[in-house]
Amino acid sequence: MHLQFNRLAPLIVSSIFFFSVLVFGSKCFPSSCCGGGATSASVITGDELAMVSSEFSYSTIGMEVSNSGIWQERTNPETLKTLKIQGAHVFFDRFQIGVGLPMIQRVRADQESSGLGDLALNIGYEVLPEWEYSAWRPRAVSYMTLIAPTGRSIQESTNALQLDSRGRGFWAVGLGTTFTKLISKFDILTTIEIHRSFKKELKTPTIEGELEPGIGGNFTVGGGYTFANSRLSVTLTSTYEDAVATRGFISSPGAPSRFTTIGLSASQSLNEDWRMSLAYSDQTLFGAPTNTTLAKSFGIALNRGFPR
Amino acid sequence: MIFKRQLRIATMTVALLIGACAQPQYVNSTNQQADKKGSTNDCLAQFQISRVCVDLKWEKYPTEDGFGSFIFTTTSSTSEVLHEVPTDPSQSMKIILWMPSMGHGSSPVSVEKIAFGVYRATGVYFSMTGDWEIRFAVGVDQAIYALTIQ
Repeated sequence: MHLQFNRLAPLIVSSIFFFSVLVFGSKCFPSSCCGGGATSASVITGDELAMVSSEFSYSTIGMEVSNSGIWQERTNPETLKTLKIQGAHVFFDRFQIGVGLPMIQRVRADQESSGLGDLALNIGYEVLPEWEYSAWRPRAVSYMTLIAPTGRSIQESTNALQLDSRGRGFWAVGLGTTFTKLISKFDILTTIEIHRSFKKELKTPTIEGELEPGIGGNFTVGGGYTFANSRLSVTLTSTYEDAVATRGFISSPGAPSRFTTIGLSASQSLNEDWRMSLAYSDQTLFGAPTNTTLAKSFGIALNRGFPR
Repeated sequence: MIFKRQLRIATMTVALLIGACAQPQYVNSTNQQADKKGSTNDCLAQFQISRVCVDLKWEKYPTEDGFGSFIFTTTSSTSEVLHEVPTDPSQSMKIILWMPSMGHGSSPVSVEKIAFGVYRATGVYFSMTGDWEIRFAVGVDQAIYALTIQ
């Protein structure tokens, strides 16, 4: 028994590090058209009691893709800086709560606008705990997310370049599950998340009527390799969002949008509690995007974990 | 044994990633604007209730860096005689720039009446490329001119 524990201990300890970095390392992507950051859930998938994280990312939005899939390079790209603060805490062993709030600055053509993005609150439950070693069974955390539209939507924008739009503008509820598995020095991750946005009434100089969004989702696959106290990882996230239909004085069915983001991340453990990661993500390399803008981003994140 | 399995998984992953590479179709950048549709007959756009025709001529085409303006006229659907959209005097001509695929508009457009049936629209700006609509509205009567901004 003791011998088995000794063999498994490094595996368990390293998995805490790997999985938490994997999940928290590069989760802030610029959204599809045209608001600020797509807010993601803050979920602990390791053995920590709590975590706080701060991430700064710098994005360049240089490409637009029409609803028929035609790409157009912007001659005047937009830059987007996002500072995202997030935290999560485990309670009753398998339950957890989390919160994530991005602050966004958008700059284009010498104009600037900054403010809050959409707030994400989530509650999670570890549906597949890793209390004993299994060669095949993954660890899994399911969560429910509530998105509050604290960022202004593009429909409510008053700026010609719509830089003051920093969120989707809809209340939304999402369900997701993150699976993680460590195989020797490699680790793999899959996340499936589906959300439903709710319709709302709007009265602006442009729109007077009802906006009806639909269902959206993300599917992520990824993996990493660790050596010493460092880890390199890659993730591929496919994102889909239903059309936003407009009813009222202006009626239009809208069109769905989709894009794929590849994320590369390098992280380093600074000590037992602190870790730092550098991330690069690119939405122009994979998939068949439609009805969206595409960004390339660099990010740096600092995470603190609190052991149980 | 484990290493071989990992290598196989890694190879499959790389193959999948390469297969999923984006294959962008870029727009022909020489075209600044392409008309998609007018309405009916020879009208560029036609009001749905009054059947009044709209025609427009760009004074300054909007770019990524600046606003544009155009002159537009309203004429009878049966002749080219200038004609106003019949309406309550309290209703004025409005223009809404609308991107139907995205479900959003652009900044408000100012409309100035120059003469009977002749107007100038200023502050015209398309915030991104793609399919747009210029919606002319008087009360509940609307005319829609669809165009593609490239």
